[in-house]
Amino acid sequence: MTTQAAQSEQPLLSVQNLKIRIQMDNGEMKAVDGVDFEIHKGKTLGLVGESGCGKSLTSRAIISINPKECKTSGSIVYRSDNEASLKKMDLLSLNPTGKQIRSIRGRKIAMIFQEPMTAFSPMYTIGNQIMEAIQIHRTKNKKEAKKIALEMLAKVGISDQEKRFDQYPHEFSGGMRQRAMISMALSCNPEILIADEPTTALDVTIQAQVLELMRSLQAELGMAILLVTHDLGIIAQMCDEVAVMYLGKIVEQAPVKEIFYNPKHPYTKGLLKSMPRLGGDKSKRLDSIEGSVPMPINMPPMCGFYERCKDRIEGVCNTQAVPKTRISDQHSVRCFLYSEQREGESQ
Amino acid sequence: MTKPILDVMNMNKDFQVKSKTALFRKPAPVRVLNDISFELIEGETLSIVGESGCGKTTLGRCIVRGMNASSGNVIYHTEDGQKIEFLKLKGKKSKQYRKDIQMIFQDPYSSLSPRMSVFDIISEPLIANFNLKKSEIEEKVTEIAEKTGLNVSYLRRYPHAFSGGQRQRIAIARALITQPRLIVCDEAVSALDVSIQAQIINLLKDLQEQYQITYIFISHDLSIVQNISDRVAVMHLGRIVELASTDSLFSQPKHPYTEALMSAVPQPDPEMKKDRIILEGEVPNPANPPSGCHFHPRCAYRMDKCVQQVPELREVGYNHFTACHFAEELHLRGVQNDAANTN
Repeated sequence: MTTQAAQSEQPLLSVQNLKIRIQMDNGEMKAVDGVDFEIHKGKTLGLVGESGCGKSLTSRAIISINPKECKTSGSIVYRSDNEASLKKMDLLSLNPTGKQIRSIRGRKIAMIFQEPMTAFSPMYTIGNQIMEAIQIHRTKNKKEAKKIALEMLAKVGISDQEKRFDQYPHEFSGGMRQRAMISMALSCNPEILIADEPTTALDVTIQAQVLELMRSLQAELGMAILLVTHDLGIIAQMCDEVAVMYLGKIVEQAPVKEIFYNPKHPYTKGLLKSMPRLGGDKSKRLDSIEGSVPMPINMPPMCGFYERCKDRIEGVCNTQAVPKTRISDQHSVRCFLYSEQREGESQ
Repeated sequence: MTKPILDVMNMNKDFQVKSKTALFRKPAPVRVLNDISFELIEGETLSIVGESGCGKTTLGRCIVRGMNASSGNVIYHTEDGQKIEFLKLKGKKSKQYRKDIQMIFQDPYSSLSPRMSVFDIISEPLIANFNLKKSEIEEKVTEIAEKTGLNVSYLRRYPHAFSGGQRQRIAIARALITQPRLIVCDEAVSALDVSIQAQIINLLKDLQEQYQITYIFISHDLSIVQNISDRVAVMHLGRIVELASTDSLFSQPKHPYTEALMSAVPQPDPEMKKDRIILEGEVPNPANPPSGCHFHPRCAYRMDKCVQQVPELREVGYNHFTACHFAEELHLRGVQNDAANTN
């Protein structure tokens, strides 16, 4: 019991002060600006935010597949929980095309991409592409690899696997392709699965199927999931912990119930209010967040949400960088509203 | 108050597909719209929902004549009470009435020409339809731009300089400039971020109130649909399977497909987990639709009758139409209307 507890306390992956800079014509863009989070075994962390907030870049940085233009700094420490040789290593310090990261990428940390149409190569059969990963990481034996691939296809609910194995991606429907992608990602029993908008391109009914599949496979295989999405509905249904990103920063991080029932950051509150929900009051107007997301180019140190924020404090929020404030053990927020209150009130 | 503006009658649309195997034999056309009929009341918002491939976009395009329907009729009731066969309009008359029905497209990144300035984009329908002086055009464009929340000093810029939400406002301004009575919004907010989505939905609602515009709102997102519409039509494989007022549809769905669609929507509430209906299988291929009720292979309540007989769209409650043999017997789960809960 005690070892288990100790293990769960040790995160599989801890990202610290991750920064990604991109040089643009008109200045340097801070696409990701000091992101910290941890991923624990068997848990799901949701990374939620609007387009351009840096959530995809963050997830891709973990397995070093961002383009060369992205200058990445910080640390991403990965602890394998079952292999002594891979005890602890900083993934960022590895050569992005080197042997070490390649033994982790796909094997220990696998990824599902948003567009199942473009993530597969149209020139190879689905079976061929799933087998490739297995042959690189698990077995050199072709027959065995095929057996594993067929098992994986069955596991994600693709019927008639023998026939499907030899088909090309264009012969699969969107939902089927996403299933095939999941089976490919899971074929090497990864410890961490990164899912970048896994169901955005799918219909609600198919989305429900795919989410259900991911949940049951997680229960079966005990992997950790980093779920990147813009859909708060999916977050509510799937995640244990949530990190809300805005303009390259995590503005609020808390367990899922805290985020939905006790949101602190004005942005989180705004997002939750602006979402139409089934069963909501139809006669009322939606609360929208005014304005749009600014470009994080040459930004002075200030709160990125300042211009859209209803509760902004002039002279405070727009003059200095916002520190992280702990509301409780698991709940942190980047907003001056709370750091001031804590100083003022002696509670 | 219940003045009709548009009657869609028995609309069909076939697509001729190329044969993959036979060289000379023409394959049977694929029917993507199958006997679609509905009436549209002035000033209301009718939403059309369904999965991809169900024909909802095709329906929208056939109504604005962006595509020609294979058969069927659309009766347009003009402001002075005339009835016009909209699909058969030609020449001058066509010009006179077609400007009354406009469309907003899904993707604001591809629906605006990158080579035209925003001013040109918005004024183009005006120049095409009316004979106006330059100063009048300028005045109208400025007025509409203000109404839709665009910064007037940016009108000489090109679309690439605008964000997605701003672009969608440009598209809305362009649709509004001819003072249409009906706008078909084809997934008008799907490509936008949540916080921007709410802005655009509010804008559409405000404009409706101000100009008494009727909307056909095509969407796959049920939470938005519930928020914006007065009536909802659920489409499945080219047919309307349920048509009812929003409240009645969401609280008491009568078609199993509607029930499944609603239950599949992930709710932003961590306590409302589980207990969802997960449909098995995929959307059937419209080129080879299942027999009887097209939904039967995925339906949890199917009987022998569903496999053999196509259900007709019939009235099962006050203004509540559904195409299910067992609508009366089934007790389907709707969405609880918890206005108190959502504050």
